[in-house]
Amino acid sequence: MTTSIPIIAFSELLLVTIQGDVSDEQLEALRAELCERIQVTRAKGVLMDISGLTLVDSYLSRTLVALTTQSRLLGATLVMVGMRPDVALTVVDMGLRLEGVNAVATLEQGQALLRRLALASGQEGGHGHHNT
Amino acid sequence: MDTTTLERFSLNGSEDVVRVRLAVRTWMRANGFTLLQQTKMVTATSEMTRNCVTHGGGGSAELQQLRDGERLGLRLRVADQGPGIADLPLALQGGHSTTGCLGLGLSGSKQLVDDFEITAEPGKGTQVHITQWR
Ligand SMILES: Nc1ncnc2c1ncn2[C@@H]1O[C@H](COP(=O)(O)OP(=O)(O)OP(=O)(O)O)[C@@H](O)[C@H]1O
Ligand SMILES: [Mg+2]
Repeated sequence: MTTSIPIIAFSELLLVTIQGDVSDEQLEALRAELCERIQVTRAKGVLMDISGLTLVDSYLSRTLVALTTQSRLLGATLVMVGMRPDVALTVVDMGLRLEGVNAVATLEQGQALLRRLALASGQEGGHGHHNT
Repeated sequence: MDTTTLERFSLNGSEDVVRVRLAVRTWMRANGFTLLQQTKMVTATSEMTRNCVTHGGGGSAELQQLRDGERLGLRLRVADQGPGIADLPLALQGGHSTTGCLGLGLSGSKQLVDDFEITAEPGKGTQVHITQWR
């Protein structure tokens, strides 16, 4: 019954989309899969779209922190995109901190943030900006 | 107050945690609870059912509809026959976990619902009731 969380490569980034209600197994699988994809693609950035994610409990908050840290250790910056307002309020009321997790509202903002970080660290973002 | 049982679940693994979360979400959405009320209750449901599975060795859950005059509420009862909790005040305080986790499941969930009751005498298992009113 376990469907996997999709990871899509586009313009030197990885895009992860988490939708609806996800199980612990799906999240564990995502952690392993994302490590592998970062290693294989040498992606410097990961955009994680959670605009369709309906809850962040303590398990998910641990997972988001773990995904952020493991990405950093592999040389990629992870940016979480589009947390729902009801989820954000719930996270705060629970006392969860999501420490160290980068968050933006839209995919465009996420891409802009990753570009800025790449420039700041003097990395080459490849030759052209748009490879389609 | 009228209490009606809506559904019963046995809790043995993380797929059961998902099943209860979905049942809570579906019922609350269908009964006019706000999105924030839904998300808070679903999140607390997730914490309590997972505690039952991971700390209590599994158990059972029951969803109840509460009606008090005009007020409509949803209650989740979770019970296990596990070890109970030796220092309940400490566990409820938050930041204390016996499994190296954050230890925010109990303390956090208490903030999310309208009503939170727990009994966890060592040797008698753990029983948690959480309720959200519309
Ligand atoms: N059903 C239960 N049976 C036995 N012990 C429990 C049960 N629920 C909670 N506990 C005890 O209370 C402690 C605190 O629970 P809480 O949910 O707050 O934190 P956690 O489960 O350890 O970590 P987190 O929920 O943040 O991932 C647990 O570490 C555990 O020792
Ligand atoms: Mg817990």
